[in-house]
Amino acid sequence: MASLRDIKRRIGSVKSTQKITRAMKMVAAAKLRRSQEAIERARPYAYRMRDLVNRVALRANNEVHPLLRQDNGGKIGLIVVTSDRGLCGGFNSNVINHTMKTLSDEFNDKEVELTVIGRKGIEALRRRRTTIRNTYRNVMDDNPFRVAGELIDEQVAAFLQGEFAGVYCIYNEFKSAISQNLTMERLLPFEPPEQGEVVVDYLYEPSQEGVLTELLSRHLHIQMHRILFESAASEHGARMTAMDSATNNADDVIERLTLAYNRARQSAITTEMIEIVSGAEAL
Amino acid sequence: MTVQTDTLKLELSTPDRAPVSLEAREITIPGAKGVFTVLPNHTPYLATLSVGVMIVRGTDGSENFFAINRGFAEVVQNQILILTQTAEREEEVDVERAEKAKERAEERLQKRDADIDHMRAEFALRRAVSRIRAHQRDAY
Repeated sequence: MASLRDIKRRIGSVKSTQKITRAMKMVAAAKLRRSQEAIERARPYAYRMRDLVNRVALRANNEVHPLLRQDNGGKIGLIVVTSDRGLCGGFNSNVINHTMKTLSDEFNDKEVELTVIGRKGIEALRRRRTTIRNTYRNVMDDNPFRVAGELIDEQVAAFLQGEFAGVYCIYNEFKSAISQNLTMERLLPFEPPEQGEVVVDYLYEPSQEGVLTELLSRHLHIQMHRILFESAASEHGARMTAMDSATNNADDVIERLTLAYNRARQSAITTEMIEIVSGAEAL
Repeated sequence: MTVQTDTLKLELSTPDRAPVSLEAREITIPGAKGVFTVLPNHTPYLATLSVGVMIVRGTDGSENFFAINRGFAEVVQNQILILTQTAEREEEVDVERAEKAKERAEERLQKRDADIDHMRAEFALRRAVSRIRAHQRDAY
């Protein structure tokens, strides 16, 4: 049995760990609130933009714009969004596992180049057999809008040159503080619209090509920007949940250790008493 | 058949706040190639927007002025969707700030240094001017 002093020391160490997890939980909760507001503000605009692009794609002919082209053979660009910091439960490992699974299943016969966002993903995916094209760190502390633009422009250029046949993104979509939805989204090429009723094409100003070029690139920027915010909100939610269960778990551990400590103290007293009594008897 | 009506349903969405819905009789929009006005039963239309002032004339005769900053306008069957970077109502404009931005941009444009980004200064100036004009309810 562990000595009294050892148990006491362990209780102290668990308690100080608990202080840290509790503080981290509170910080995560505060950050979650802010990033949740941000994503909820960003979504309506991003969704409207997406709907508009779909309506345009339905009306416009696939041939009219290179970004609407469907079949150009080539590599796959995969954007993987993780966090820079750990201690957020399965947040990053889910993304990384799903990425590895996608590489071996869906894109088994394709050459895939990864663009990895977040230190955790970069470290994990570098260790495995993957081709990494580009990496970004500390995106949210930097300027997420600028980074999203840069990243998308680079992928779009590769798509237009025929280097990429498609661009996909794996990220955690924010559902609520306690749940994230791991998603893979196709950014390019655009989904071929289902041919429903024939609708009248728009009158474009200044020109169809001009409008489409601006609309499609703007749309992709906005979506990437939204994805970064989805992931950030999910990360804080995941961390809050993880730190909450760590704090609760520390409570359980402390309770068990306290019990063991009291038992050990009791038996030490008993032994001492027996010693005294039998000593007195011997006299 | 679609029913012919004489009101337009406008939805105005920006990245930084919840979308706004308005009813209107007539909307004047700063398109990339010039200002145009949408009346009820307009043909399907898709336009890129420039920096400028949008005027929404309500069914009750009211007029609302918005300073908008680029984006897109879609017109389909009396439904108008405006997606723009910023849209400030006349009463929301911080005039002092806009005046300062205008001065700053003009100053930068005066200097003929090669290292000044003229495009940026130009856009900054147009944004400032559109804000001031929206505030003064004086558009075109």
